Amino acid sequence: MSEEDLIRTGFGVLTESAPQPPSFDEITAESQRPQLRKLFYAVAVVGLAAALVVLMVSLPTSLTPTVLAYSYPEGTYTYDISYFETHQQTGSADEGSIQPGEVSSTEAHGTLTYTVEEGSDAGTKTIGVQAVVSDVNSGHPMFQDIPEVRFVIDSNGGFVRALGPESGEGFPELVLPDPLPGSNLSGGLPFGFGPPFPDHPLDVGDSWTTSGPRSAIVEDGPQFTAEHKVVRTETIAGRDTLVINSVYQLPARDVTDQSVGVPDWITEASYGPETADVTVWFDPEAGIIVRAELDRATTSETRFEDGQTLTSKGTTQIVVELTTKS
Amino acid sequence: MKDSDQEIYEKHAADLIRYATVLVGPDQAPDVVSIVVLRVLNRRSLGDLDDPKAYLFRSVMNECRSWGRRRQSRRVALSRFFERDESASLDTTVADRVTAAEAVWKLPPRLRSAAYLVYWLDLPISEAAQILGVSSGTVKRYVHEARERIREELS
Repeated sequence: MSEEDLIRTGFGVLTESAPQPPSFDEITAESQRPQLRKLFYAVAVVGLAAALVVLMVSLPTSLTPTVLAYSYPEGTYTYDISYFETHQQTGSADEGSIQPGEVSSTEAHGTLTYTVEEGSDAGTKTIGVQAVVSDVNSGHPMFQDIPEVRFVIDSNGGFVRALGPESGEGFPELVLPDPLPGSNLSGGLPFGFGPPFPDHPLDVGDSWTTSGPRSAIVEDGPQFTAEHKVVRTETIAGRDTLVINSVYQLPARDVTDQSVGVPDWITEASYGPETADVTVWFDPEAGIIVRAELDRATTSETRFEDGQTLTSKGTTQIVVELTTKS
Repeated sequence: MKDSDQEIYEKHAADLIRYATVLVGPDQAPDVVSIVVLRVLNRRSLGDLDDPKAYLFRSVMNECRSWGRRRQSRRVALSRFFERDESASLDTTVADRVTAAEAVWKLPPRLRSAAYLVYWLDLPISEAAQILGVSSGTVKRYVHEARERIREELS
């Protein structure tokens, strides 16, 4: 039986157990189950609160075209994070740890807690990030062993600088924001997922592009390009959000530089091209990312002095979702 | 004449309940569908949506993600499928069916969603992408990974 047949068989079993859908009258009737009554009350309370806020401060409605900014009011934000990556190597060289063609994978779950404070410079925020991994099925995802770190961002979500855990010196590139979200710790950061916003108002259907160096501290080399688009509005976790899709692309780059530690028995090494498809659910009123989904694909080519080659392909999927804010 | 909210809901209700069932299980599915529809109706008419089917499917998927984290364990939820699967005790291929259902149930929600839309509903990739809110390329990758995981699971 093929995988597709197995999948169909599996769904056959699962769908056979589907109950009757609730009738329309059941859904709309006032005498609902307790859970739905709770929802009614919640909607009513939230609606009342929202109305009061609008009356008190005369804010514009949340999803009219507006200049977007990552406000992140001071406080603590906790995101659930799911991380899944695959890695496959093919070629004539014997890499050793992974059999040629074998797909290895790592799956992890955890939380990212952000403590947001006003930055020392006007308009900036300082975000302290603490990652806690609760479940790893194999391997060691990148964000597992990274100590609490702090970033400074501007109101457009642009990276300003990183603050080390202690001295701030010798901060590894690994944990610096990367324009290709997901390729390092910044991929686990909701603000790292989000695109820089333009200065003009945005509405559904609007798009814009950005480009820049691949790393905040390595400005030479190939530039990434990214296309961003506001694709729709969507209500998620009770928040009216703008769904913004971004497609990032970074061309392949030669990384055969023995002066930075590449061993001399590697004669050619290239990394890329890299692509990342990122979707964020952005609450324009609160100025925060509510959820983000990332799919990233990378490849690398290595040629050794004996003529053997190795091709590596990797994929990364990350989902983060805001669970609590205090 | 534009369909009423009730007509639109009833047109898609069976599909929605099956979709919710494969994502959160039969016990939670009715509440998921109810909450999704109620939430939409609280804000607008279903008839005002450009593509009610895609919107409702996407909303069910979003709601199921939130439920999936805080609901019963996979093992408990899975056992509920077979309690309701009356044919399971009679079918000589029950082992295959159980194995396949377990493997599908273990897929992460996004892969399960994509596989369901593409392999069970036979939707075109583009339509599945519309529902999932991702690109067609991403859907292809999801279903590819779903197949890979099924192969690993059953090897």
